[in-house]
This record gives sequence, structure tokens and C-alpha cells, in this order.
Amino acid sequence: MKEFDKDQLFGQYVVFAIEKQLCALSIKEVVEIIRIQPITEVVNDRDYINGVINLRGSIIPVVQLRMRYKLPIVPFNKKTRIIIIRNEDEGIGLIVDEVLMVTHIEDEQLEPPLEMFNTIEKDCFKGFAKVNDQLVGILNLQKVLYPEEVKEG
Amino acid sequence: MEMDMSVYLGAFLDEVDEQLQILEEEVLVLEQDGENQETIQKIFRAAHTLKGSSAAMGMTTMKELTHKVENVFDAIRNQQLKVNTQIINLIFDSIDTIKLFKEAILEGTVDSVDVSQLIEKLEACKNSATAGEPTAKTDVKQEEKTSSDEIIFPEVIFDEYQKDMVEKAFEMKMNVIAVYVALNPNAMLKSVRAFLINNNLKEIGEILASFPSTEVIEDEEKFEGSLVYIVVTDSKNHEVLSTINSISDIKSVHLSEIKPENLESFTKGKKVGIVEQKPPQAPPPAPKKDAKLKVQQTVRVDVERLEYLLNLVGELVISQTRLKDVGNRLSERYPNESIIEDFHEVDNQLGQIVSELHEGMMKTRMLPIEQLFNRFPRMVRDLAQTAGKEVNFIIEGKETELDRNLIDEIGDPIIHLLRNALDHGIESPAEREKKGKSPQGTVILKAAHKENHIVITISDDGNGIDTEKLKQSAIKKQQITPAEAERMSEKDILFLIFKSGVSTAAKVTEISGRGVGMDIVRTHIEKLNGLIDIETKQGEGTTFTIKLPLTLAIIRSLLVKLGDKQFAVPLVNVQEIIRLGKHEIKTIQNQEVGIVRDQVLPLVRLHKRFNASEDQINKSKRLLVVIVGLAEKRIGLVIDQTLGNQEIVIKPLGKYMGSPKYIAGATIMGDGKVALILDVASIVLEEGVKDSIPYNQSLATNQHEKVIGVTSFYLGEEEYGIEIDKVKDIITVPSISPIINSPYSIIGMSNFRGKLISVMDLRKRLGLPIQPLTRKSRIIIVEINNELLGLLVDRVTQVLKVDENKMEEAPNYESLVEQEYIQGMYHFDDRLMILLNINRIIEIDTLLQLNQKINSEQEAVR
Repeated sequence: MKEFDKDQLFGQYVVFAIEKQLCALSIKEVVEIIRIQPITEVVNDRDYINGVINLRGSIIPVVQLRMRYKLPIVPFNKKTRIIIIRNEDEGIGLIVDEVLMVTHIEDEQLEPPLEMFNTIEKDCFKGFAKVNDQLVGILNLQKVLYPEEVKEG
Repeated sequence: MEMDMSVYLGAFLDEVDEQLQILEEEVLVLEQDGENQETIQKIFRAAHTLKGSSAAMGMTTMKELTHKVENVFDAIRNQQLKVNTQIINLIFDSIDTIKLFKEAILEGTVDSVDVSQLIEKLEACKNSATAGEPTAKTDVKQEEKTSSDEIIFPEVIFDEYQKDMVEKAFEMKMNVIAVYVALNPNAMLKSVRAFLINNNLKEIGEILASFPSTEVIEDEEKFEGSLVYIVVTDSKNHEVLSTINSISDIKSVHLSEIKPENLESFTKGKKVGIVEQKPPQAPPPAPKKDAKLKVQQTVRVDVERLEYLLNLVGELVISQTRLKDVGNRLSERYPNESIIEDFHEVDNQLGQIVSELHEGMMKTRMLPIEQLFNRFPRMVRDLAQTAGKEVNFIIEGKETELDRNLIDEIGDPIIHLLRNALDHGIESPAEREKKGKSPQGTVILKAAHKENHIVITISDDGNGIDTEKLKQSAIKKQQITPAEAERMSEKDILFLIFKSGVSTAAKVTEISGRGVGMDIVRTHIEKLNGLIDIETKQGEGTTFTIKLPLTLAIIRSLLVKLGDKQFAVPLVNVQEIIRLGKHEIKTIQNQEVGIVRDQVLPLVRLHKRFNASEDQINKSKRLLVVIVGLAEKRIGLVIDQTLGNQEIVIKPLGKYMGSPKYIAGATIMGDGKVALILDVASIVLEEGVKDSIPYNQSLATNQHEKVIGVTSFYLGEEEYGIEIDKVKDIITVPSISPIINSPYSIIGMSNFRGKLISVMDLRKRLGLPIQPLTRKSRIIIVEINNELLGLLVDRVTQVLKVDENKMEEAPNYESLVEQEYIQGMYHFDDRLMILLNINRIIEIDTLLQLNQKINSEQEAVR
């Protein structure tokens, strides 16, 4: 993860927003995007894991990305989406404010992380790209999901 | 050759298992009942089969061993040898060695198993037999000498029995064919081929006899390659021919039909002389029966595949419930759309299929507990022998079926309990006689289904548990202080036995006494979500009762509400639901407790833990408490509301979620929402009984009082109850479609888990005034003789356990309901419950007719 993994970054990206910050995940990492669902709260040690949802009969944990980045919690609205990603053979949902588009980002557009972000921990990004004059951060999924472990490592 | 054999290895090992099982069982029978031709035959045959298959697999050492065992039993069979303990032990040693072989085969270290000593012993044992004349073999040998290049078939001579069988076959108009088969003289493995022929013939009919005898055929050295089978079959001659010709290296086959006219020619000749000389040579009648029995058609399936399928069925159940939900919403929105009717129909049909599929899948995972129990007689025998005790070991309920995972898991606890029973429970014969008991102790292992649970009991008529000793041991081990010990009840002390390190045994023996066994037992049972109870009477014996859920994947649960959150509590852990008034709640040593029937029950509030609002329970005057238990511990969970019983599919929360405290998993409800399943085990262990609190309540089923579970509900002001084992589910009132000309108080039919069931208004049935439905109205689904019926009631209150002995006769009370429907009444502190006699209320014939009617209407619609 230290270096650019060009292969992984190449291709299509799902772009979404959290607190106005644009973020993106490679389409390879995304299974599907669903509307917000009733969430059953599961009290656990990691407060950013909000609870579980029923995705066609499977129990899927959901991560509140706002909680993960210690941003103010806003009520869910019509635009709120859950991005289902695949991790260690099980689905995990990421709650985001809004999903904007799926776009193509070329390697050349990518730049290493900058120092200018304060709203979201910058170590969660693999790199950045400019899309339609807006800066989009490519999320490092492992760091998003496992903050504690990554910090120790 | 080796390559080919590996394909059969699995089948071979299975066969070895099977035959070893038979051997073990029958040798035990032999030991107990003494010599009995049938038993000896069975043992002989098992050894024989093992020999055959190990030879076929090229396991020479194993073949040799089994061959020797076979020889010994041959001698016994021919009454040249008497069965004694020495022989029995020798045979058991051989069985153990064969087991070692099996392991060795799996590990690829077959050569490491040394059998030379055992073989010597077996040999010696056989030789000790009065060297009886080898019977059939000499005859065959003489014939062999004459056979040079021309095929000479062994002479066919029927003895009385065989003749009798042939005649019987004639009566039944079956074909009796003599099949003459000659193998190529230079063919390899003649015996194996003969064995194949034998098998193929068995498939098309019954083999009455073979000449030469099976023993000779199996002996590669003596068997010359020509044989005659007498077969009773329905098949045509050409079918018989083709069956045999499918085997390679056959030189010639010809058939000759045996008819009443030519029967004599097969039985004449040396009949008198030879037959009397060698009665044992006749193939015993039993093997044919057994061969028939074994033809149970089975397929071995990887458990993982089953697991996967079951999972899919679980998903299907959930999807179907959702589909129904969607259907209902559609009908609400478009009440006049006829296509939605079609939708419902399809949905109903689907539901029916799904529920049958589900049931079927569950059954595939169920195995009779026999598989496990069969291991024990041998173990008990060995243990008893080591400990110098005499034990009559009785197994009951072998056929009880339970989930295969459970069978795997429950083995260890039972072994520990049996060991304890033998080592500490049952006294030595001398001691027993001194006490005036029969020198032979009795240990009973019993399995049974009870209210959706498996109950396994292990009881002995031994010495019982000395609670005083137990107490001293616990104090010595500093598990409790002497002061605590003073306050403890007998039962509490008894449960100390489950603590690690506590033992009443004066000395540690090979079998038990270290005080760790019971700890393991408890841990195992807790892991399985089960309960354990002990009952003991000094000098009279001890009974352990284990209660387990039927299956691990799908469980019955009680749905409860904490604040606005729904949780499922596994029903196996639920003991009772009670209400506690303020005055019944106290605080002892910072622990909130409830006083239930003069006993102290620790109360646990989980609202904060689960982020649930406590407003509701703070407002209410009385607390609703679910008493849950795990192994021997009980605590009371404070809840807002019960929502009824439901069967739920347990789903894991997944790796990422990990295992949050107090949560065992999740399940998906009918409305698609996720409800969490409470992990009663960890709640009880962590929040539960602190050791310092005197606690002496056991709610587990007790033999002296007959406790029954009752679902109680209200009709107007009166409280009624139905025995819980008749209750399948409690549901909110679904849409009810009327039935034309429905009898009695049936108000219509409704869909319950995909099945159409009729719904009876219990008010109407009992002659009470009819009332409109309210939000609290519920339908109790009852099951009578496998037929389902819904009962409409005003509201359901709780599930409680009552002591059947405390039931009062009905006439003491003026009820609105007629006497004949009342089974009895129960007085509680402040109220009265009328237990209804459901069989009177619902006549099974009427119900059957009704359900048939519903089904036929459904058919008609299709």
C-alpha cells in the first residue's frame, strides 16, 4: 500500500460524498449500491459500526463513514446510500451521504495524498484525482475498515 | 491395481466401520447371553466380510488377523470351542487392533500395526479347540484331484434346509436356477471374482446355496474356479446370464432350472451320509435376511453440501415471508385487482413447498442418536471390568433423532457422566450386597424428545452424591467459604460438582476423580445452549438430565422487546415468564434481585447495554421478567414486553462485526427486519449469580413435581391456558378468508407459514359473547395429531410452568365455560387460570375433515 498500485487504481470508480468531500472506490471493490435500509443497532466496541441490515437474507454490518471520521451525524435522507463492498468474503455496507457517479479515472490523473485535508484523515486515501475540477480521494478500504490495526502497523 | 483400489478406500473404510460395529455389538451380546447360534453366526459373518474386503483391498495383515478371528468363531460355531472371558477379551483386542488399522490406513502407516502377538494368541485359542475333522474341505479336495483340464463342477447336494427352501420357492412360483460358472483356469483372484458373482446374483435374487461352500470359495488356494449357485429369482434366464457375463475372466456359464420334477436328482445321492456329517456347512439362513436388510438405498453426502443447502432453504423461508408481506401490501393498495389473487395463490403454493422443503432438509441433518449410543456398551463394559463392578447397562430411546452436529458434540459429556456413574455411583458388588442391593448395578442411558428439546438422562442406582463431602471439598479448594457453605441449599451444593477441581472421590482412579470431568460436561452443554440438572439421593442413586435444543441452526425462540428493540431469546434457555411487583424486588449486595416463591433471583437489566429506552419499564408498576437458565444457573431478564414464540434461523453477524457482547447472532423476521439473538450463556455467566448470593432455585424439570408449560391467554376477564406442547406458534391476526358452510365456530382460513389453516374463534366455541378484533387479539396455532388449527383469543399473556400435581379439579369454580372443556384450574397468588382441554374443544375428526376441505378447495382453485 505504500506505493501506488497502478493496476488496482486503473479503471472505473464510484464517486460519492461524505460531508461534501468527494471520495471514490474502485468499481472492483464495490458489489452494489443500495438505498438506506432499516438498520438494527448492534452495540459493540467500535462505534462506527452502526449495526446490521438484511440484504436479501444475508446479515451485513454497516459502517457509518461519518462516524468513522468523527464527523457530525446527520439524519438519513433520500440521497443516503449504502455502498456494499466485499471484505474477506463477506459483505460490508458503507453509509455515505450521496453517490454521485461512476467515472473513469486514468492513472495519469492520480496524485499522491496531499497535506491539505483535515476533515477526513488523510491516511485513508491512496491518492487523489481531479474529476470535473473537483478533487476526489481514492479510499484505502483496509484503512477505512480497520483503523486500529493500521495505526499500529 | 493400487490406483483402482484407492477409489474404493472410502467404501472399504465405511464397511469396516459397519462390520466392526456389528462385531462389537454382537460380542457384547455373546458375553451377556452366552452362546447363541444366531449371534455366533453374525460375528462369524462380520469377521468373514472384513476378511473378504481387506483381502480385496490388499490389506494382507488385516486379512490375516480377521481370518484368525473368523477361524476362532468357526470353531465356536462348530462347537469345538467354548466361549469364555478370555476369548471375548481376545476378540475385543482384535476389534481394537482393526480400529488401529483403520486409523493407520488413513494415515498411510499400515505397516506400523503389529499383529503378530495377537495372531499367535488367536491361533493358540483356535488350536485349543478339539481338532475337529475339517469338514467340507476334504471332500472338495478329492474332487479337485479329478479336475484336470475338463471343468468339473462340484457336486450339488441339498441338505434338508436347502431342500425346504427350494420347495418353498416353488410354492411361491419363483424360478430356482442352478447357475454353473467356470472361471478361466489362469484367472487371477478367483475368490474375488466369485465374490463378485455372488454379489451380482444377490442383486437379482436370493442365493440359496453355493457349492463349494463359501469358506472354500474364499480360500484362494483351495478354490479351483468352478462353482454352482442355487438362486431363487424372478429374473429371466438371459438376465441371469448377462449379470454374470459382466464379470471378466469367466470361461463358461450355464443355467439349469430346478423344477419339482428334477429336484430329487439334486437331493439324492449321498444325501444321507454327507449331510449329516456336516450340518454347519449349510449357509445359515440369517445372512440372506441381513443381505436384504442392508439393501437400504442410501447416498453418502458431504455434510458441507447439506449445510449449504440448508442455508439456502433458510434464505428461501425468509424470502417467502417477505413475498407474502409484499402480497398483503399489494392487496391493500389494489383491493379489486384480481391478478393479486393469483399472486396470493402462487405465494401460498410456494409457501407450502418451502415449508416442506425446509422440513425435509432438517430431516436430512437428523440422525438417530443410536450412532452415538452404540459406542457406549463396550465402553461401559470395559470400565466396569477395570473398576471391578457389575453393571447392567440399559439404553433407551436409541431411535431419537437429533441434529448431527449435536451428536458430535454431546458425546464427550455423556462419556464423562457414564464414567462417573460407574466409578463413583455404582458400588462394588460386595458393598452393594451389604446394603441389600442386588450386586449388579444398573445404569440407564435414555434419550427422548420433549417439547422441541432432546432430553438425555443418565441415571444409576448407586451411592448417590455425598453433598457433605462435596461441600468440604469445595471449601478445601477455596471455591466457597465455610460461611457461604452454611447458607447454601442442598441443590446449590450439588451444583458445586460442576466447578473445576471439586471432587468427592477419595482417590483419583484411571477412570475419574480428578474433578475436571464435570467442568468439561458443563462447558460443553453450555456451548450447546443446553441445561443440565442433577438429582441424587444418598444411597439410592443419581440422575443427570441434559436438555438440548433439537438443532443448532434453527431454533425456537421467545421474541421480547427491550424499549423499542426486538430481541430473540432461545426458548431452550427460557424457564418461565413472570411479573414482579415492587415489593418483590430487593437489592442484596448491590445486586438487584427478585423474590420468586421465596427464592432469590438475580435480575439483569440490559436496556442500557443495548441502548434501549427504559421509560416504559420505569413507568410500569410491575416488572416483566423472563427467567433464563444456562446449565445450572438462573437469572431474570427484565423486559418490556413479550412478542410470542417463533422459529428462527440463526445467522452469524460475520467476521467483521466480530462477536459483540451478549449477542449470539441475528435473525431475519417476517417483515425483513433484523432481530438480534441474545447470548444467554454469556449474560448468565457475566451478569448472573455472584457466588456470594445465596441462591437455591432450580427450575429445571424435576421428577417429583410434574411441571408442564402452559401458554396463558385471556378471553374477557378470565385467564385460560393451553399446554405449551400443543402450541406451535402465536401470531398476530392475519387476514382471514371465510369458508363457505364452515362448521362450528370456524370463522375462516388463514395462511400460516405457507399452509392454509382454519381459524376458530375460541369465544364462539366456548359460548362466550363475540367481540371484535383488537390490537391485542392473537391467534394461537395449535397442533393436534399433526393437524394445525388457529385459535383466536383476546390477548396472550405469558408462558408459565405449573406443577401438574397442584392442579385443582374443575368443579370448584363457577366459570363461564362448560365443565367438559376444562382440564383443571391453577391458583396463583392473585389469580386463577383455567387449563383448557384442547382435545375436547377440537374434535380431531372435525379438524381433519376441515383441513381436507381446505386442501381440496385449494386444489380446485389450482
